Amino acid sequence: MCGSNQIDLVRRVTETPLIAASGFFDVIGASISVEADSTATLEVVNRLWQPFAVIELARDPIIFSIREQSGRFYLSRDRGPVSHGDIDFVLAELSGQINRAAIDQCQEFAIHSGVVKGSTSAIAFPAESGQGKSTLATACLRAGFGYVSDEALCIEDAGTIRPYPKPLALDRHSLELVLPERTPTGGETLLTAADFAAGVVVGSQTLGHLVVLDRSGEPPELEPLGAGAAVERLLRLSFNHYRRPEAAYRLAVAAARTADVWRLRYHDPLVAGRLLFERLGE
Amino acid sequence: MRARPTPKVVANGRVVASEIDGEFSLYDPRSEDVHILNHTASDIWGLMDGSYSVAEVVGLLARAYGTDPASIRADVERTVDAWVEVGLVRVEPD
Repeated sequence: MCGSNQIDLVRRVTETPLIAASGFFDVIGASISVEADSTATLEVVNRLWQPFAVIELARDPIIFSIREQSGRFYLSRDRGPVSHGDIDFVLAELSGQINRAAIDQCQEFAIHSGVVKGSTSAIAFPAESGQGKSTLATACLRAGFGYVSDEALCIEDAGTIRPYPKPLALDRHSLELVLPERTPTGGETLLTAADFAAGVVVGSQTLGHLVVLDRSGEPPELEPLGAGAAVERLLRLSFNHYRRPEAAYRLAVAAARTADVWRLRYHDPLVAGRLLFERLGE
Repeated sequence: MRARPTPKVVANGRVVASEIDGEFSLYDPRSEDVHILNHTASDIWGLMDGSYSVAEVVGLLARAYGTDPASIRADVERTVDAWVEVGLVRVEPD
């Protein structure tokens, strides 16, 4: 064999980023494949999305790729570029992309909400983006709850809850509050329930409590609230009630009837998490 | 002399009403609107079965609350008018 051909072959191989491996995930109905050109990157991806890992995908997946070049990471979706930056930035971007795809394809009645589980039933705290769902969810994990979601309460047609334990996304301030031993990155930090020594909840769950958040201050207080307020809140904070409005209304009413409805007044999420565990954790 | 017919108010049949802890929420599939009623409005809604006129609703609620009908008439009329306007209830001749 000609020596120059061997050199050419080696050059072509090294210049073409190789896919080290792929991870397959079924994220509440969205088929996701994540490719990476390093096993280290894929290990992080597999750890963060481990609750959704599957051996093979039932449908054509959305394919994300993460490639490293000269210390920068490049994220693409279905071969089209999405963004680039350091690994933490790219993983946060990947998380946002997967979350949007999952919520878009979710067949359940989905509501902006943090959700945790005590010993018997799930506790949901519906709230708008930026109102502290993830921070309170992590505070609840520290207090002893199991992890269901920091993003969405997914109510199945039977009235049960489908867990959506996506990676927990905390900004710098929240991370310093609930996990001070962890060094913050520049933007959002992605975490798993294991980072809080908490378990991930699997399988359909019963909704036991709906908690309306009120960050008006101290002292922390948990007081009963009318169920009508819960119906209004569930519909107002829904991602997808417009798809099947009457079914969404009936599910919201059923949820408000099934669950105890509370108002949680608090300022410090860690104190609030402990209060919720003491009062509703059993 | 024949008495003038008294129009009755009746909930529109398409409206889905759900009662939780004495309070109603209403879903109108035509507008896709949801209405959450407070306790008093729920009491009014509970009388929208086509048996009563607005004046009779006022009288029944006044008796139930132990108050003067004049003190609640305006609120009841305003509430029913608003429901008629959005199609939750309609007025039917006796």
